[in-house]
Amino acid sequence: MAIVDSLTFFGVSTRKRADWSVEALLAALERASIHRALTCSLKGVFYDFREGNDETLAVCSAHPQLVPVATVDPRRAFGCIEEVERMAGAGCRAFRFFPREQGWPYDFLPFVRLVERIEGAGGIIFLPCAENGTATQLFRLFGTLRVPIVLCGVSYWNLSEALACVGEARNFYLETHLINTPDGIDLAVRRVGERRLLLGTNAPETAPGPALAMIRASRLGDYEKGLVLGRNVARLLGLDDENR
Amino acid sequence: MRIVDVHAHFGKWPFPIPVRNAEGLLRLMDEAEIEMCLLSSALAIVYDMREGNRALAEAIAPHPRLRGYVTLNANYLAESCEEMDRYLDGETFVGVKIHPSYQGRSAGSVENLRLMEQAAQRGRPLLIHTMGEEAVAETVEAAARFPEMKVILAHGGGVAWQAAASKAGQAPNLYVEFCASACEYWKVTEGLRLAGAEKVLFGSDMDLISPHFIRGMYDSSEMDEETRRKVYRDNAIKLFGLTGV
Repeated sequence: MAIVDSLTFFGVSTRKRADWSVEALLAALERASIHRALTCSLKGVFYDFREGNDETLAVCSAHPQLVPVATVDPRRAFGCIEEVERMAGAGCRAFRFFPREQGWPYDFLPFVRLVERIEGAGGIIFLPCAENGTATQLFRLFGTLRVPIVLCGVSYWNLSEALACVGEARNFYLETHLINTPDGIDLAVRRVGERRLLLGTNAPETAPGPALAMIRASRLGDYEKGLVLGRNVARLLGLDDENR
Repeated sequence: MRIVDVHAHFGKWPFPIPVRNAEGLLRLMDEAEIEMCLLSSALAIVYDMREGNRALAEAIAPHPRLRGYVTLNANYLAESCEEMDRYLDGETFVGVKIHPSYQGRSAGSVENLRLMEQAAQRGRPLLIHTMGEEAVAETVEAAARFPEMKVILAHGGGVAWQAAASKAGQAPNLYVEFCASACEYWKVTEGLRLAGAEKVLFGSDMDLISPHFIRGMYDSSEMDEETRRKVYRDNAIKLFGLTGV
């Protein structure tokens, strides 16, 4: 069963001493027997998205098990739409945003326009969703679009709201790394179906073991576990046959 | 290995988590290879100390694999002392629990220091919710005032887990367990290096958090078999004087 991690990153940790290098990420994935991972450079988050995205492309080119995820900081104004088009042209279909780190709200027209452009490019969008109220806001903003929106970092704190939104918006998905209540995965599958959950680990900051253990300990059948562990995100991104 | 879980809860949550009775908890423990768990009452922590402790006592009485913490509230010193005297005379309740956040009293507050003084006199270990640098600092300082009392820093201080583990390694009466939603890479491995194998315990936060999730963190850390046995089991048995495990 090929495992694809939909939520990783690499780069420099500035606020605490930690090794978030590419090598640390690769080692974490290998230790956890994760075959592929979507990843992006933190340089694009904290410094310059074009430089960061170039770094992401270079790293993923050197390590075929890594799948590039682009990021754009909508505060910049200059070159944002162009960067979406450039990265889409480079074959990157996944986009991830970091509003908390960058200090902008979802109801933010420069961001809304980027989402529309990514939809036009056939992309998929990963968005943090850790607080109550966020999923509903995203639902109102993007719940009628076609672009897949993956709610990341949902925990027991806001799982009820996230499930309601994913259940109603056909383009919404759930990333799993903080769904950690005893029946959380089973409950989510009962509410929204096994095709709407994507394994994420947040490696290398977070150990992959807990998120993997939650899927494996769930009451899902092997086929359904395979969907959550990798085939769902592989299908969304059109990854190659080894993940099917 | 059959695990002793020193941080678990009994009761309901305002989250999408099915309500479990004692039998439900035992089934969850079996799934995660947990032999015994030490529970505090969610009701006692978030609302009514007395009613919560009473409900917990009733629920665990028939089940020797379930032991209890008497939950205390620093805003009710006399009542907390009564609760300790009511429940701590047998083997069912093996420690006391303080959750400073829900009480609105920090670990170093005058109210909690008075409560800890009383708890220390009863000779049972204290599990205290500890999240963040300030909480770690206050709890460590409070624990130093009562060296005869064993104090477990629940959640290992959260984001301040390195400080918590380091202090546990220095103070003879301090221990850590690391249950949390944020399972930072190497937390348990590095925590063991800082605290020492005798000072780290297994805690899951069940059934708010799945024991499988927390086992995923502990299991993927670097431990030799002797250390694993201490962390998962022997340290808790020794610290709480557990019998029948």
